[in-house]
Amino acid sequence: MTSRRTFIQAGLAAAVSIPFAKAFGSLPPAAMPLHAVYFDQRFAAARAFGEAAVRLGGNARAMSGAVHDFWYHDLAPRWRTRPIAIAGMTDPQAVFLLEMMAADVGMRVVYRGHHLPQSSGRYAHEGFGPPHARRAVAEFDVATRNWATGAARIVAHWPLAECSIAASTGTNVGAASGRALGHQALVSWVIAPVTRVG
Amino acid sequence: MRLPKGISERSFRNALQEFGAVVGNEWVFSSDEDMALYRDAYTPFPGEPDKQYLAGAAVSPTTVEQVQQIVRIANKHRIPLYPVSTGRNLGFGGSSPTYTGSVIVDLKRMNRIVEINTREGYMILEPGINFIELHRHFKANNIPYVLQSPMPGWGSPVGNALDHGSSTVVRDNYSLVRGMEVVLPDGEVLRTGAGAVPGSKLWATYQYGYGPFINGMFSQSSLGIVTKMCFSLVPVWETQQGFTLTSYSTADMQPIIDALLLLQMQGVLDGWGIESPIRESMSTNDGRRPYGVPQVKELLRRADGGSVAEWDALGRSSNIPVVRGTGFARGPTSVVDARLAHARSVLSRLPGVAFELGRAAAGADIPAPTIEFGFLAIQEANLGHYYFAPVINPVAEEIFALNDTIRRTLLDAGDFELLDNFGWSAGRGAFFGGKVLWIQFEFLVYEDVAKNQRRRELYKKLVDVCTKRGWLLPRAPVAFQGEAMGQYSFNDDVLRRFHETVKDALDPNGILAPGKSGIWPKHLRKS
Repeated sequence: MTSRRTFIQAGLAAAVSIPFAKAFGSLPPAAMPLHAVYFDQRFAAARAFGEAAVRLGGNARAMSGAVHDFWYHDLAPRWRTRPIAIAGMTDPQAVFLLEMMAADVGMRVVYRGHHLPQSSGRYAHEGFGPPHARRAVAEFDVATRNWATGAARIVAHWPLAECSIAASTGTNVGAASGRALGHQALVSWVIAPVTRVG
Repeated sequence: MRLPKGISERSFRNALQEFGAVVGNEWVFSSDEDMALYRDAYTPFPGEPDKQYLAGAAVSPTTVEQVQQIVRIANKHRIPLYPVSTGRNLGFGGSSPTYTGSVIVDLKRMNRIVEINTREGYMILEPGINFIELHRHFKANNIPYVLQSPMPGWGSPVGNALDHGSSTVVRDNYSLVRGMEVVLPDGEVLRTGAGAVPGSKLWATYQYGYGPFINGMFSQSSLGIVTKMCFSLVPVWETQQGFTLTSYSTADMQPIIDALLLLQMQGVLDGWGIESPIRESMSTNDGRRPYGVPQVKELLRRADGGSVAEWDALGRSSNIPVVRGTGFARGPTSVVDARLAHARSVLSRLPGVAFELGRAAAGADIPAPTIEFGFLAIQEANLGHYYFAPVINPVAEEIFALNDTIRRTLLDAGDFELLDNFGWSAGRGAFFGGKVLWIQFEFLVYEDVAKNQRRRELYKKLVDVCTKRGWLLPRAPVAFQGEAMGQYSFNDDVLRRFHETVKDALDPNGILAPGKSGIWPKHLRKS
């Protein structure tokens, strides 16, 4: 018998597929395997992101800002033998550190979503990465309440095809650097092994 | 594609192709996404890309032979190279080249521990290994030596030493360097010291060899790419224990310094430091949290900086010491106990100064290096920082003069934010045998282009005023390396001219790190 959990996950998976079907016209593209999805449990939006990642089948892991321990004990030894992608929603400092260490093994940040708290308590959003991700983030506006769930959808089923570095992918992820975000800002991100095309 | 001046795109692409034939095309990087990592993450020039030093490409070798071939290809096509070990010297330039369009030689994949000899206490490393991974190796193999790491520990022992970096253990990492292996600008491989004698077993222990001692030529330099470095190791100590001396009188600072310095020179102490906690109590430099009283900022913002009597009174009323000296000894417990007993007997004679012994800590308790920054960019929406770090001799009058000079310069510029950040500082301990105080404070970088421009001018102004007083910069961010070299102007800049003569002889095509430490190859030199 199909469990309620499986049914809900299947329904969510179908819902997740829809934006990809829109983007790619047919079946969702092959998704990149994700080792873990990290979320900073100090922030309500990041907790919502983590919960959504679980519902989407992700290996969600809570953290509280510091990255050294899980990088040192889990990611570093794993990445030495086989780099594998990770995703998350954290403060800017955490992704800054992880980006540095991932670069040592040839991985890159392939997507960044900047989520900036407003005085209203809502968030403003900006996406950097390939066109499909930017379109998805553009659908969040300050009024969007369940944007953290939407952010989880973006990272949880990241297309393998969007892990290449080539002029044709149309990514603008490089434009994300050099932005002062503030320590209350959140960043959703994907760090992945990349292939080089052409 | 970002090209070095005077190099055609065709030549550049040809060179990249030839690099690819050496290291594999997957290890030659030129895309925007890749090059975003080969930059100064803390650039003083955000929003001013025309002023930033930006790499044109990067190549990542794994062997000395590949480095040699890369250098020869660069000579053939006249492509400037800029080697980085891990490229994480944040605050001093990171992995930014010193000349736009340079090809970064990323040595991170050259990350072998070549040898660790526990009997003779040395290690030989390649430049790409970082402190954290080295520490992991030490722990996993129960190597009974201390790893002196700065924080964060993602940097390279080789790169850190070459930039005259420091750590909490030795405070002068370069002093532990013995022999080196260097690829010269013509592609030849050189080994220094005893390493130049085939079959010698002293490469890692006897650094001088015979003839002119050339190790220093490759530190903070553009005369070669270091591919191996031998380090002397410090044994893990059984105990480290320290003490503090506190006083509520500014006049006690000099006697305390004199006593601590003598004790270190005598070998009683392994290190010492000096502070004025009340004056430093509201500083946010280095991620500190203010703990003092508002009057501290008021006094520091006054033209006269507050009188000695006012500071002493403020220290007493707020119960924050006016002077604090620290010292420590490490080694076998019985030896440490004896040394500190002697230190106590000497220091207790200082009138009005309270001596308090600290907690002993086992050498095995030394914190492991991590990748966390206690403070980082992205605090209060800044984009990073770069360091202003002059050194002075350990004299109270000099400490006060330097602080007053910095304070007045910031006040004259109306930069209260930077003044509040700096506050006051006597450094973080004495370096280089206890005879040098190193004051370091960070210039924060923002998105405000005009503010950043003013700050850069202020930095240059500070270099200028310090130069007039003989206070020198031993390290400088890439953006200010010309100014730093400009300080060393004795005898009509003979030092810089000497460096240029050597540069022209060793690197006639000027392909290696042009501009590093303010030394330019002939074809790029301003007349």
